[in-house]
Amino acid sequence: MEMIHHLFSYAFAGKEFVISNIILASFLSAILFSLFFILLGSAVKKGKPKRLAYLGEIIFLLLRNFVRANLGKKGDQYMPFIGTLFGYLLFSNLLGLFSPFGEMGFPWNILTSPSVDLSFTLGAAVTGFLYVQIASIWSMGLLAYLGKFFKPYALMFPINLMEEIIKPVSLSVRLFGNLFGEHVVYEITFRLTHFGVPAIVMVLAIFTGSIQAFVFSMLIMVYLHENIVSHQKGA
Amino acid sequence: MNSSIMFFTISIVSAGLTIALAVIGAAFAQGKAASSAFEAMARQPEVQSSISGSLILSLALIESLAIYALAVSFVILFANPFSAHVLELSKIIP
Repeated sequence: MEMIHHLFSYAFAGKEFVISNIILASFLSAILFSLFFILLGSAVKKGKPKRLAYLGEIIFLLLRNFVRANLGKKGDQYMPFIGTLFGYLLFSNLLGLFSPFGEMGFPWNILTSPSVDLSFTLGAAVTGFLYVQIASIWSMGLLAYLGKFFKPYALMFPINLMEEIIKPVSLSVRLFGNLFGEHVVYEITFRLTHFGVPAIVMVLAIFTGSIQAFVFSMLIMVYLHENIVSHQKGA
Repeated sequence: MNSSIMFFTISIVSAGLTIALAVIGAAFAQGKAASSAFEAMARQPEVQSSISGSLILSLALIESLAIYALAVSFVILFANPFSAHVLELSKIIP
């Protein structure tokens, strides 16, 4: 069950830091995700490989409908971030399907899912949380944003503050718990059975990984919605 | 050595019991959510895709409560903060 391998360590500002295989796996996921969508984007722009252009347009329309259903037409400005977050988490989760190969001596054990590390999911959750706060300050103004914490009663400030702080914690623990549990089940299935039976668990792993990426980005959109759209509509 | 064995036994049993109890509650809640979603879909088939999206989202949110309990169970099993202390004490107290 040893998924995090400490590869290199370096000292910085008097403390000891470690580069683990999870960091390299997250770089791999980012590189694969970027290459895939750069390819699709250039195909859509030039119209040249027809099937890739169709695929790119379908993915773009799906993403735009997904964002517009939650944020309305003014939500188009948040579409790049939501799309990147969703796609990157989807690629990271689906990279976990290759983890038996990753542990069979692949160099540096890169072929694992980076989401099995709580640090990675916490980083993604804090990134989304900071984006929501900055976007809501940008849209509402600083005074309205601070006044939001005192809204029903001024005495509810600690409860509102705690609710805001617990949001990235719950996002990260949800993603980590689902992916770590799925990884454990996956690994045990590969140890216990041999031919063809892990395919069933692979289907479950694809399903769980996609749903968790979807829920993560959907929750980021819900947090955006309650901070931005409700203020603009005045409701 | 007796009290440290008891500590580890109790922590393993409690780790298993944590996730088992949490999953009971999560299963009941997900069943209730799914059943009312199916009833609404049967009543009005044209809103099926929007109800399906909301259903998947709420199932994942209910599931996440069981995942919190699973995380506590993992902490008890794999990163137990008291085990070093208990092992050190068991060398002093027979």
